[in-house]
Amino acid sequence: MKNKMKRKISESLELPKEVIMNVPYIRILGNDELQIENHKGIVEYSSDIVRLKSSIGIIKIEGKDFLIKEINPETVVLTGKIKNLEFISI
Amino acid sequence: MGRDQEFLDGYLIVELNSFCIEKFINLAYNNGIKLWDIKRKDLITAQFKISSDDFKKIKKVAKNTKSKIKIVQKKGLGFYVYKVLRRKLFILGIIVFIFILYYLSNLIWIIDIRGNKNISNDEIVKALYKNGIKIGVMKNKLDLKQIESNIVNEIKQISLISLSIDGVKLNVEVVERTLPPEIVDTESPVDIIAKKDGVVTKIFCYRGTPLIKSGEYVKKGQILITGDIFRTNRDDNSKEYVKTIHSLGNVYAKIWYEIFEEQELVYNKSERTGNYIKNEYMIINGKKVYINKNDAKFENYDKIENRTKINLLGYNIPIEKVEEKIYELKVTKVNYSIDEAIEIATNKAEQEIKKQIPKDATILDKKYDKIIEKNKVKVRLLIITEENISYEQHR
Repeated sequence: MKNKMKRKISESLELPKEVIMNVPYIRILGNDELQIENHKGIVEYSSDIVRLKSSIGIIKIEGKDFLIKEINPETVVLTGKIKNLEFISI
Repeated sequence: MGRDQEFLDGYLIVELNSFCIEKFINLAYNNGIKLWDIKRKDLITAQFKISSDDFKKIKKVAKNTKSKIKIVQKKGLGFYVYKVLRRKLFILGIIVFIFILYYLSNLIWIIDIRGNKNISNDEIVKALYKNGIKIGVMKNKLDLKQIESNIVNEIKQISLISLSIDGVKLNVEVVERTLPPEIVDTESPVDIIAKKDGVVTKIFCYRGTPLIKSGEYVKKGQILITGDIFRTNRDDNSKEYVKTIHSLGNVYAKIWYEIFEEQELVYNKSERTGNYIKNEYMIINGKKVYINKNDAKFENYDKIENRTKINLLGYNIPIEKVEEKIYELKVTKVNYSIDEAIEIATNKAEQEIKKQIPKDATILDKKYDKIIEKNKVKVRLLIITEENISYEQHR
């Protein structure tokens, strides 16, 4: 992954921050959809709690009726009633 | 949204039994397998959707994580079609439906006639019917060009007819011909003969030689004016034949019409009482099958039958439906006085005689003779008319 990032940076300087800084980019739509780019895998997944690994530590989402709409190496799209978002740094 | 594409490709709903669901998901997407709508049910079970192509790959992942997978449901067009195709009766229904639709679209349902001013639609429809075109006929059996020329020959007022089929509609375009006035061929030999027996009153001879004189009695078929022309020699008064022409002329004659009518003084008069019985039955292969039968009978009755042939899809099937109405009659004896009887007989006679007299005849005289007998009255009606009795006969 690191090699890939470096190559991308060398290609162009007009890159979005989250890529250069290698941090997750989190978007929340209302309280029922959450999208995380630049994640590094799921640590825990249940209908109440989701924990995701990222470069800045673990992202913990609490809520109800979670459903992973989409998952691929870059993005996770999560739906459900979101109550709490917590960053746990290592 | 991308969901429609997934429906077309087909996808599976899979249930996963594993102690490390998170590991399974991470492994799956890192291997390039697309999962969506992942739902955790309880500690060890989760449900997700996967495209049917990726299912083989996910088996390996399941083996590595020591988890069990089970297909809950197959969704998508491919699976749906497969499911539908297994229902034989449904497929049969579709085939029958398509066949019926195809069959019905091969029939003519509408006949649209345009361009006719003087010729009635009925006349054209009749001509079409003669040539095998009616509503409900198969359109691919028709030879339109042949029918067009047939109709032009049959109806002389039509100079051009064009038939075209537009789906289930037959378009008939008519161009009318204005007929030239009838030209009398003056060269063809024609005699004028008598239509009826009578005494000649007037002779108007325009061409030809009259053979009769006024006051002469002529018989039906007798030559009145001949087309032969003669030249009279002054020396010996002999006649010399010249040539035969188309004779023209009108001959009027007195004609007698005579009719007898009688009327009995005591007369059985029957009237409908208003009571009636209605029977309905079908005739199938000559056998009567009653639908509605009434056993009551009348002493005197009128029976009226109404037959209708049953049509099925434009074909006549040998089944007839008959509606029968039996009216009760009441017979009463009526006594007429002599005057009344004469009047009835006279009216009857006049009605009868009117049928025989042509409309252009002028009535010269009318005579009634009355004969009174024991229990009946006789009337003799005589009418003398003057009418044109000439009739052109070609030789």
